[in-house]
Amino acid sequence: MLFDYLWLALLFPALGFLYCAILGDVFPRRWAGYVGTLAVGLSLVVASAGLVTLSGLPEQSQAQSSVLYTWIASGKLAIPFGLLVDPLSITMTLIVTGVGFVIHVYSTGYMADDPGYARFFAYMNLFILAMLTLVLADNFVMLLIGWGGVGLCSYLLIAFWFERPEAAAAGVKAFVVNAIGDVGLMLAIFLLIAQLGEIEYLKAFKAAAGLPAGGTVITWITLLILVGAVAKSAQLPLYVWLPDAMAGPAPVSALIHAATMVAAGVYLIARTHPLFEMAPTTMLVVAIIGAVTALFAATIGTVKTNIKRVLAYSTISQLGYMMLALGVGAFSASIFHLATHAFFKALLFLAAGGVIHALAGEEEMAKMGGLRLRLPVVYWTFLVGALALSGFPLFSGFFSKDEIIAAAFFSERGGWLLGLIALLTSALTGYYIFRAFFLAFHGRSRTPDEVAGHLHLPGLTMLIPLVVLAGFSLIAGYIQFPVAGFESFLQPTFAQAHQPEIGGINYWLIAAISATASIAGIGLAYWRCGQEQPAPAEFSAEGWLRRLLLNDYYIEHLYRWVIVWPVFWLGSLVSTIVDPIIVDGVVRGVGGYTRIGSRALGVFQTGYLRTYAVAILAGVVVIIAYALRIGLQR
Amino acid sequence: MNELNFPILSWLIFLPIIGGLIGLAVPRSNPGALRGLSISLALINLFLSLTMLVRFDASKPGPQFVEQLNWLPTFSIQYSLGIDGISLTMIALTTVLTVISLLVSFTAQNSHTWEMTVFTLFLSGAVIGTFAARDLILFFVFWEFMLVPMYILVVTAGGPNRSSAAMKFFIYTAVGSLLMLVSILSLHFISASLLGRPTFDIDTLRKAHLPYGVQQWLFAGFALAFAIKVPVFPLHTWLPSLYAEAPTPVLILATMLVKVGAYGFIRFAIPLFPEAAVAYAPVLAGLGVVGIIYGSLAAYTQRDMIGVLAYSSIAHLGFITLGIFAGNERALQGAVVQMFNHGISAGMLFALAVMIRQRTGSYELSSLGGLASRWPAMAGFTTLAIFSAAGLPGLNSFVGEFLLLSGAFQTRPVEAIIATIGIILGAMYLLRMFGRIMHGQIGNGRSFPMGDIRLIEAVTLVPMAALVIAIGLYPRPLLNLIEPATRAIVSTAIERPVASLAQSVNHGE
Repeated sequence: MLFDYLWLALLFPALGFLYCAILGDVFPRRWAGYVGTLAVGLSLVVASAGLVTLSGLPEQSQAQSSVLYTWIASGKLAIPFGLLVDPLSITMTLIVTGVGFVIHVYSTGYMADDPGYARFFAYMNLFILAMLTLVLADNFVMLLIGWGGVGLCSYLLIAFWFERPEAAAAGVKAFVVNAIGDVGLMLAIFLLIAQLGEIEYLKAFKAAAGLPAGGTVITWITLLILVGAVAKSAQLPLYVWLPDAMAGPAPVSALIHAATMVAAGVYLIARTHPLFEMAPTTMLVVAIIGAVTALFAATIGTVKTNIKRVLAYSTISQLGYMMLALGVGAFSASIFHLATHAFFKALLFLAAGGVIHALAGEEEMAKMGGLRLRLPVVYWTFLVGALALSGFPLFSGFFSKDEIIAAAFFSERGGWLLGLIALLTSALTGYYIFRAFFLAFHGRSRTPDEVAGHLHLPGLTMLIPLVVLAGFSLIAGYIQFPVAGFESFLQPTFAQAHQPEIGGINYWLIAAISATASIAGIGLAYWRCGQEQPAPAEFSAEGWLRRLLLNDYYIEHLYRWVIVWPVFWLGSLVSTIVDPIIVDGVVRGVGGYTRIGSRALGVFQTGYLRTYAVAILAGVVVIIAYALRIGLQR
Repeated sequence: MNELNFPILSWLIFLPIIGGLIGLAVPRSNPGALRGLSISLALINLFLSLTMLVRFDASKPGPQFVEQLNWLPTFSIQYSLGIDGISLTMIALTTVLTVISLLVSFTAQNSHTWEMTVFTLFLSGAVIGTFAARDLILFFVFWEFMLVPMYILVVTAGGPNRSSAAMKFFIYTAVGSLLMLVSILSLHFISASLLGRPTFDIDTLRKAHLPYGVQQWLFAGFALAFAIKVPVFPLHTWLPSLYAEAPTPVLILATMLVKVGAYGFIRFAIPLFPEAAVAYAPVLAGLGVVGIIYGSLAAYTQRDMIGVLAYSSIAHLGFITLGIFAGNERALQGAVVQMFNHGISAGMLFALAVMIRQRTGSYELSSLGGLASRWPAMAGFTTLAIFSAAGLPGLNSFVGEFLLLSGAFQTRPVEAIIATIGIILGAMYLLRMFGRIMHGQIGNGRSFPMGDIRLIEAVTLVPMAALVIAIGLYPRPLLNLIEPATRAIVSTAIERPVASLAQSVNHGE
């Protein structure tokens, strides 16, 4: 069919993975970086070709599938291995391969001295393969392959420096929390199969239209899908894995835990929006989770002192914005923000990586300061990213975020409370990112002399990606502004959706208020942290509010008490008492063998059993011999 | 005779058994001869099973490669063999795991190579026999015969607590066998009056239409024996102690031993006593779910690798039990696929456990750690095996798990939901074990002289790894093989009795 060549986008990273995994350490190590990067570059070319082909099609046929083979067939259920190409999936594919390519280039410099260089690129290529499977799949079950695959790669890359106990533990945490989401998603699929018998998106949506809107079935299906989305996109209450995931290398945080994988939950809801639109209850839940998470994570971001953790909470908060947009029905706005966020957040992580690289692995902002003059390119590109994130006028985040805030206010599914939360978050965003900016780059250096004396200055392979991403962070907003080009590009995917029309005076009013709030936040950050010496409270844990925020509102403690420890206690109970003593004892008791009795008879019985066993063996041999004799007689 | 004009099933069964008998005569001082003999026989068997795989016609109903002899006509006992798609996949996997089990036992420097080699051959023949038998007495002979090599092996070559472990295994299994034997003989005599002639042939016995009251008792006898073998909670306690004591390379093949229990349900207990099976199904499905949660919790807190793998087996077999008794075709198909998959993933993990112990001298999780930095290739294979066992989508176990759970969801939603949640616990105990072995740092003052995976070890791991990926991405050939057989069982042994039970309820009987 028309898009059969798109399978090549999956093939290249697959080959790259195989090369890096099997031959990466056999041939010169540098090659692994080149091969891995080239593979993603070729995927990007294929994806771009896909965009060209798609744009040439009339709007009503901009949803094409390309089936490779039937993967699983059982009775009436047939699950194809197929791709669905439409504006949404092409957008995601371009983001994954585009940002992925830039980050691969950066990694050839960033990881150059790491002994696990080839392994790193193997995992990264495998991730690209899984992520493309996720966004291109034409059915729910194949989506699971990508969904599980990115989870695997996330685990492997968070625990990349597995000698460090905290990295290994963070990997496990990420995988297990995501397993909760996987279970939700699987149950949603089981329900779809049981109720509709369809697992291909387009067929399932058509069949679902027959269900009563707002009914129990569709509400449950969407709520269960939401569980998966909440886990993957690190929303309340399952966000806990993402801050810890920062134990992985900075390029991993940029690619997986900022730009692409964590956006998969947002993508999933956008992809299945026909189902969600039929379930108003779920939509409200989505909007509330998104808004609360956005605010919640932003407040925590204002006190963290680890630069990557600030960015992690920022990611959670921004994903909350995207969820909020989905919940109020502004699907295009959500995907628009997903796209701009991919650029500026990847940029921020890579720039932070530049700082960390320069300081030989230091991530604490208490040990930074004054890097403005030592790392000028990193400084300026971080500034661009920070401005884009805080929604500074004319930067990309300004356009995408304000569309969401306006939708939260004015959509018929929205409301003033959701809108106010979004506005408040906007002010906090400006504050926390510029707090980090000033702490890292301005003021007097707090870096110990032995580190400051030997800064690892980034090379061109790291600087060029920063500049490229800074460029995109500047201009990406203009794919939508001023003519709503991006929204009309996505139109075929969301044609049936009832998206809010936000424009004119309302939009500009909100944009002005939001920008003002954000600039106020930036001003506050400058006042507290932009001086020669930042306010000393920034690096301490004094005061109840700061402690509350530093401890994530004690949510982690709650999890430990309610889930982690009970499972361990229960398991220990089973292993030490229930199984060896109670269950075994009861069964033995029923069998007439008490513990004491069997011990007393042990010597005798063991000898007896051996005899018995030999007797059985002998008996069987005799029977076989007899049988053979009869057989031969015939 | 049959499709090949060649008693291929008999060869598959008796080649290893005869090899074992010859092996008994080979002195310990000549390990090379025994190795050569056993591995060539195992390879011939593998070739034979692959031949069957090629020649098998999945579209034909009924058993294939049939062999029939009037063995003991006085007692109407027949030597009757034949296979359908389910038997074939199980036999094929047994021949693969026999080769791997032997190779691993050669590489493991162990003073008991002789015992392992000889009894692995016996075990292999007996297991294949149980999968091929179509006469109840013949099945029972193989079933009992499976017990012997395992028992002797543990007693002669086992760990420090071998005698109590072997005794527990023996008592459990013998009790089950005894009850099954009583059921077999009762079935024989009762059906004789119904059918007009005595027989042990399962295809004939199925036509007997036993009264429900009789079915209940006879099903209970069979079910208890099979439930012990699977093992179904709470009859599982023999398994962890046996696994802890048995020489580990043999456990690669022993993963098929427990599959015989699940196979017994599918082949005998359900088709012979369909109404009783339907009536007991909720209990057994429920116990399967309990086994998933219980086994996972216990696995999460084990101190050594073999303990984790033992309880993990109980949890995985819990899924299979649920699939068998879900009363849904897709779930049953998934259960059979999982029987196959669990053999691969557990086999691979046992093989890796042997290799790890050989290098570090220990299965203790507390004394391992950081091995990934020392042996990256081994870490890679372990990663694959762990995530296969965890049911990662795209790998083999996901296919079975998905079919099983999505099917069970339609007939037993509550059980299916709990089982699906059990997947989270699976991820927890598997990653805990993996992290304890591979992640972190190698303990102070420890140095491991051996290198990464050797060629002979790679020969055992690569085929299993290939199966993990191939079945994950292209399971169609396997599913096509299994589907007609499971459909036949479901349509005659589950759907009809459910309908007839429903009818009798409607009529107020």
